[in-house]
Amino acid sequence: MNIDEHLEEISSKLAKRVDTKSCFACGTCVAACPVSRLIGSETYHPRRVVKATLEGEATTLLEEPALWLCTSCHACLEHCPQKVPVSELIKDLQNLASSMGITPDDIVAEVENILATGWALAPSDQANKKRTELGLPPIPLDDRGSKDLQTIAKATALLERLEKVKQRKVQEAQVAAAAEEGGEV
Amino acid sequence: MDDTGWALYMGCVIPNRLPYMEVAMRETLQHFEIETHDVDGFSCCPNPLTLPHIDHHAALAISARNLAVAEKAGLNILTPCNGCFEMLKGAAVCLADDKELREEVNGILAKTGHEYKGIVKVKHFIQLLFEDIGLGTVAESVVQPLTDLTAAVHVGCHILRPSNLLNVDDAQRPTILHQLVRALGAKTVQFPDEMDCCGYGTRPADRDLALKMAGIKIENMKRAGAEALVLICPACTLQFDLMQRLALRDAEDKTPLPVFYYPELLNLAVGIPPQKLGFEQHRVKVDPILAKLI
Repeated sequence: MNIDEHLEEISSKLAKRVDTKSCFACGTCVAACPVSRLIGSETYHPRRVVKATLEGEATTLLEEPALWLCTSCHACLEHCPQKVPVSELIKDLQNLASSMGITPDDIVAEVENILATGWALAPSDQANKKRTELGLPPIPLDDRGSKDLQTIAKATALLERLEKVKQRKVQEAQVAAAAEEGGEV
Repeated sequence: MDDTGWALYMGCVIPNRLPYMEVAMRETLQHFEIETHDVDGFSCCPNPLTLPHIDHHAALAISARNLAVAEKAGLNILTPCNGCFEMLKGAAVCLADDKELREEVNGILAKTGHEYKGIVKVKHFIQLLFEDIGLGTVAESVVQPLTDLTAAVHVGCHILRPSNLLNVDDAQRPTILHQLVRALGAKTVQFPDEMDCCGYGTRPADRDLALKMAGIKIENMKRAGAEALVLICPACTLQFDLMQRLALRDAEDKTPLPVFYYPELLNLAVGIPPQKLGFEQHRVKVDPILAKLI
């Protein structure tokens, strides 16, 4: 499936969950969004994400860093009088951006850690020192299901998307290096 | 309530970063004689702020695997972490209702040797205090009322929303935590934007924005007359306690606001000595408040 087909799938999925015309552009989601209120709706605007998706024009959103500013608080979804699942839609678009290799570094690093260790935050000597001071046992040194998580990553699109992010990084570095070389000549 | 026991699902942040929350929770459980089981084989829930944003199908399968581990042990899940609660309860509700989805997820889980039948219930620790132990019992257990304390409360997003899946409290005007704090004899204040996110969710994409969101909230709490903040979520705790000094970097009033995990206050009020609770591991000093209360 190419990006346009994926986008069409997201649009039709949204259309199935809600009446396509149900977003009446009231802007309640924007008013409820703590990020929009703080940084300005010209930079981050949940309603425009819904509109662009319904109109099949979300491709331009996928490469925008602002797509990742959603704090996942679900205030938009909760306040929407028409029950449009705005934050779920944003997550669908982020998933699509990931399949193109676009994902913030910190998210990738944590997910790699989860797959490698089973922990979002790996146990450390410092953590165990704090635990000992409180009379708690140290963190057990088991594999915490990590082998299963790696199997799940392979059986879903997760591993492929992480690879794609790596490839894109390499390509971007090559383009940057070539540009620098070109500039010096 | 059925008599299925509780598997204690601590998550990643509390045991590794905020073990004093684990101590407080275990003390409270012991005080009310709630039996729980530590179960081997759980993984990260996974963190609702990272993994589902790359692949939410994989995230659902990982949550389902955790549910399957509890199911095999014959237990329901009790968790103190809002993020873990959202992931595990969300998955439990979706998978219980949707046979087709369950079959799809079990297709993936089969490769790991797990199967989820769809019967595990997931409860947040605060929900247990409010619904199972009950406000009356909490209030009756108080031997040292916290009458001198005026606090802001911050419930956190992921215990409330999406409310169609989580269904714990009024998602726009929650009252459970206010009531639980008042049951200890303390006063609570309301402040503007009380329901806004602590900002932790924007950290992976924009650290400065995350700090700004926390800072604005702390300022609003202090303006409303709060002398402390009471919360229940480890992510909110990282924002409001660990990062507070940075969050208030540009604030006019940089006076620190001590932060308490609700069970810590409950433990003090029922007479558990503060020495057992590890208050020295808080980043923002709580001594001025403790001196007043004890």
